[in-house]
Amino acid sequence: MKQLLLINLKPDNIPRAADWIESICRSEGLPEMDSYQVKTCVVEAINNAVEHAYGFGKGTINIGLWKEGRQMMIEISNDNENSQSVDFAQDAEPVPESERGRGWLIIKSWVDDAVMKRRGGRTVVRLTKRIPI
Amino acid sequence: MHLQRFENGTVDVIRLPQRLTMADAATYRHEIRDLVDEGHTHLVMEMGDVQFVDSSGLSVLVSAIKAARSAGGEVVLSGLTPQVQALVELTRLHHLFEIFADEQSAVLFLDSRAAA
Repeated sequence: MKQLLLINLKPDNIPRAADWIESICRSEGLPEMDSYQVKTCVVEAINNAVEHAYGFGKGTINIGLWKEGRQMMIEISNDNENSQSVDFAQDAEPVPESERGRGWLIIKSWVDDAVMKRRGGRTVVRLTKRIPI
Repeated sequence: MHLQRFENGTVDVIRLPQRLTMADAATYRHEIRDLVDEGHTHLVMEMGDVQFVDSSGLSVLVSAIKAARSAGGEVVLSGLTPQVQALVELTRLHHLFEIFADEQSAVLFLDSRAAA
């Protein structure tokens, strides 16, 4: 069953959404560390929207979670189709002293697949995490 | 929310909160830079209470060590949970920071550095 969450971008709402995601991942059978990794990746995707789609201003984010076989699927979308696009295949090795550029490395490393696309006037990031047997 | 700070000889220990994220990153970055500007250049970032960090939170740590080093000081990390340790290693920050299991070891290390 697909579970949906719509969040307004207030400071307290992102941590609450993150905890909700981690809780669902745990209840669907993802181990503790894997659930933590999914939670972190979702927060990074939300942060990206906060910065690039809404310029740290007001906005809303939709999050959808569902299970497909032995995979957790998570979609994070915003209503700005001009969000910065990301090539997840690119080398994202950060410079240690850099204060930026770690978000996509985290996503690329901690989920099994990550895709960003435009759909119906929205920017959608879809994350896939395999559930170990 | 403000950072908790404790002076321990020549070293300052900053006890980071449960969440170190985008919501508070700018505030914490400025607080730490102000601290360094006031001469507190040897800092232990005690992370035993930290349950969640995002990349903005990591940028606070990087900003702190850059500010401290440019003032002749140093920043080290202590008390990382396994999850936070995994994130630090994934993002290669273990090449930038000395990391200690506990606050006391971190303070001893930095105290000797400050005295040198």
